[in-house]
Amino acid sequence: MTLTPEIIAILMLDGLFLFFSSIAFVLSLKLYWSWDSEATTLLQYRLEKESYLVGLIIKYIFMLKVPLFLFFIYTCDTLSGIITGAMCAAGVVNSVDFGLFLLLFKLLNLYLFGFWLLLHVRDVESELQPYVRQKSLFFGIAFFFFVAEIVLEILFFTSLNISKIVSCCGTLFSASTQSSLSFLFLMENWMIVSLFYASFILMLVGFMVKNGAVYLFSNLLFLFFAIVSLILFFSTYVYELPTHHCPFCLLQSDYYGVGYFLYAALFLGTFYGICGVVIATLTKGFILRAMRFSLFFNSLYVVMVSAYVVVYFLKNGVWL
Amino acid sequence: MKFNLYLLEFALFSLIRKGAKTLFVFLILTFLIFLLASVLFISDAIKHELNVSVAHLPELTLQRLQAGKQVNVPLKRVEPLLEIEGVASVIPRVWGYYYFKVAGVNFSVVGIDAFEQSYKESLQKVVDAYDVKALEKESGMIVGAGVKKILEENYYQDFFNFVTADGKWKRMHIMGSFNADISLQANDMILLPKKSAYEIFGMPENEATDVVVKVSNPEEIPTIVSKINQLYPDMRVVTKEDIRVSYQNIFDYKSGFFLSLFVVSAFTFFMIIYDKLSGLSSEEKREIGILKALGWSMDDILKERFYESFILCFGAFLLALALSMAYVFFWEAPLLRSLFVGYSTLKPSFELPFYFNMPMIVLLFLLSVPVYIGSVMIPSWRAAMLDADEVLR
Amino acid sequence: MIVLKNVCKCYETEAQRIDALRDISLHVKAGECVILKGASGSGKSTILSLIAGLSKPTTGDVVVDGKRISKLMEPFSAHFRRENIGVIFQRYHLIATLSVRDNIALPLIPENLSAQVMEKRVEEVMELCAISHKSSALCRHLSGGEQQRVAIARALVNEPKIIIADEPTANLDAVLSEQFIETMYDLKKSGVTLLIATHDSQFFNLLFVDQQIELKNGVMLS
Repeated sequence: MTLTPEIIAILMLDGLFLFFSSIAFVLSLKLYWSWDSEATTLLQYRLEKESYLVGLIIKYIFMLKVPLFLFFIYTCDTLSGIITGAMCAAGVVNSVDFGLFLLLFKLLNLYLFGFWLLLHVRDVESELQPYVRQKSLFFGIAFFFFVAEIVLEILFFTSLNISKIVSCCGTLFSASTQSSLSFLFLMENWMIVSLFYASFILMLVGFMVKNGAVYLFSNLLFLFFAIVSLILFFSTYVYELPTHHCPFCLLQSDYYGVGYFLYAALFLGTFYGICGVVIATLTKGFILRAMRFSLFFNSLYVVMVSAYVVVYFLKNGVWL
Repeated sequence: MKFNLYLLEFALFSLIRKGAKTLFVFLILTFLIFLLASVLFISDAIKHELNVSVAHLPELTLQRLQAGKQVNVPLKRVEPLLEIEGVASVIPRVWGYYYFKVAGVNFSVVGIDAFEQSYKESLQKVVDAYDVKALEKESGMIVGAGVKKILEENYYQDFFNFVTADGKWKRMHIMGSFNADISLQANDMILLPKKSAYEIFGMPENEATDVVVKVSNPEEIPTIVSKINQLYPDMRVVTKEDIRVSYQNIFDYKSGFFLSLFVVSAFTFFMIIYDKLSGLSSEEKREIGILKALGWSMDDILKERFYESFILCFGAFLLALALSMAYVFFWEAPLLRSLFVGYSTLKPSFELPFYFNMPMIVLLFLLSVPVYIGSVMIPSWRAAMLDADEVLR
Repeated sequence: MIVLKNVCKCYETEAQRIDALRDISLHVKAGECVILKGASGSGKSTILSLIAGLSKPTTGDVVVDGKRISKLMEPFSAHFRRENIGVIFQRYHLIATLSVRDNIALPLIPENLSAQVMEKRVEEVMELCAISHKSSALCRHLSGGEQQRVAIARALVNEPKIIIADEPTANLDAVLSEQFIETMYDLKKSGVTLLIATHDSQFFNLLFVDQQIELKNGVMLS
């Protein structure tokens, strides 16, 4: 176990989050069981006030979670300086068996909390607050994911072992049979890249015919293929090295931290594309607005990754 | 949604109107963040300095181990080491610590040779400035600024009597002193001719304390290390990277230890704030009631409270940052720096280089502002929830 | 304009249950002036706070301007209050450490108007209530009459359709009370609905009063 200032900051905030989200969890359960917007009882008036607190707490957590996610990656990056063998955050994350799960939970929770907030916004826009029970139930479930993330994170930092030698991203993201991600490399590059662009085109079609279901589906595909194609294909053009496939090194200053922009665009695009569309369908809201936001950021992502390939080709006259 | 400037203005004046309460929270907050920022700045600056000095070190240091203890290296091993491919130079070092009982401090005694390159550039500069041959002839030595000071305090103006391993006196003349640019390590250093060093330490002259190896291509280090291990299995190879990591660990540990204490005290403080804010004065209750009756929603009041906390907290954050920068980099952090540099009494005398980076600010921000905002969240909510109909009674 | 239907309001504490209002029904048309009279504790203020949406009835309905206030949640009830209702409190309830201008501007802050509109509205009501000359004075330095005028200006600044006054003359001498009644008369002429809770007999035989409602222990007598 190492206690660098960064880790202490993260653990401390985790403690705070756990405390506040537990309050929100208890209140959410109360809201779910007892909310009755027609009632004029004291209990109901009290619940109306408490639903405010739930919103406040979740906004607070979400507002910190987003920068904290980036900070987490940054911390892993600095830890790679101490941990033998790690060259970037990838090695650090993978130095513990469940590192990848931690990362997945972190991402998933960003989507979940964002979803809750979108629902919340729609809810308080209406005089009747029609979605209080739904959003309470949703948080009641999301809370467990959140706790899982925090527990994993605490375990992660306490079980980091400096003297253990870990693999660097070069071996983690390679075709060698030992690496856990090697199955991805069985696919041909051109196939993945065309699937990536195909899902984007499907998204465009969904947008043009204004079909929420198609749009949502294409976004799920897009998210998956975007990540896979980034690892397999596009990252090599960023590094200008045919063998370097790491999705974490993109975040380092050597590449102008372009990863932060790529991931932000991808997250915002798919977040609005998935959560935004679901919410708009559930609450009969402005589905077009969510789709427009989503399409903007997704296109931004596509333009950015494609530009790396095109610029490389223009400069060198060959493909990698 | 447009940002409501009037609300911000109201929040600012509301803080001012509360006077003493605001000031109390502001000062304590500033002090806490100041303490935190100073510690992090110091540890970061030292880490930075160590990284710079480590960068000048030779790639490999070889120590000979016997029964798990470090022992001297026979000089005849130098030649075979030089023959390993990729090795640029091999320098045997004679050095050690000399305990000066009267002052209760350790000096680092380093033997130098006229015909040999020093293992560190900064050291070489000092050696070049003096005539080593003359030192040999007149049994002279060159001392670091810290050593000179200690010796003068004990009335050794121009010479010093070493007690050798045989128990004899060995008088060495102080021929000069130096202020090395990398002052952290050189401050307690005494440079004297190798011959005298052997005599003082009572070492046979065909041995060295350890051996440093320079490698022309850093990519080849792993290969060379494995070759050395084959050649001399009793030698431990310490790479530059190992040294860097261990330094970093020490300082992370030290600042981590401090931070853990800090977190505890900070939480105590925030409990106090929580308590203070929860107990609303009747005047405040009345004001909230009036505002609600005049058409402010709970949201508006919450926002107003949030602005208040944020102004207070952010103001304290910025002020604390400025203060701690002045304290650490201008006044050289009296008191606090002794937390970090404590090997011997000589070591603390060094200058903190100005070192400042963005992630550090983010870290400081994350350690202070969210905690404060969190601690005012529930009291603010309670305040905004107050029933307004009491003002109508 | 204002309709109360079988409204009951009780406050529950751990020890007991206090019925502040029992089965109140009333109907106020737009532009009317209504006096609520009764001893203190009779439930006048509770009716006012129900109409302003500051509290909610235990049973029954409160409808103001076609809106069911009794079921309106935050922040809509606050928004409704801001748009439609001006409040004059007993003892004015000005914020003593703010200037006259800032006190008057308070109801407008959540609206986030542009600086010009804000300035214009505040200037207008200060003019109307003859308090412009004191605009930057702190409220704690004002005389009783001036404080009253600030309180009225503050109630008018959001251009409300309904003005609610709670014991407005309780702390005023005869001359100031007279002035206040005149102001109310002017307001009624301009079409504002007035609700005044008072036990000051000066109000009881005014010509412009349309309804007088007497309360005792939370029950309507007339």
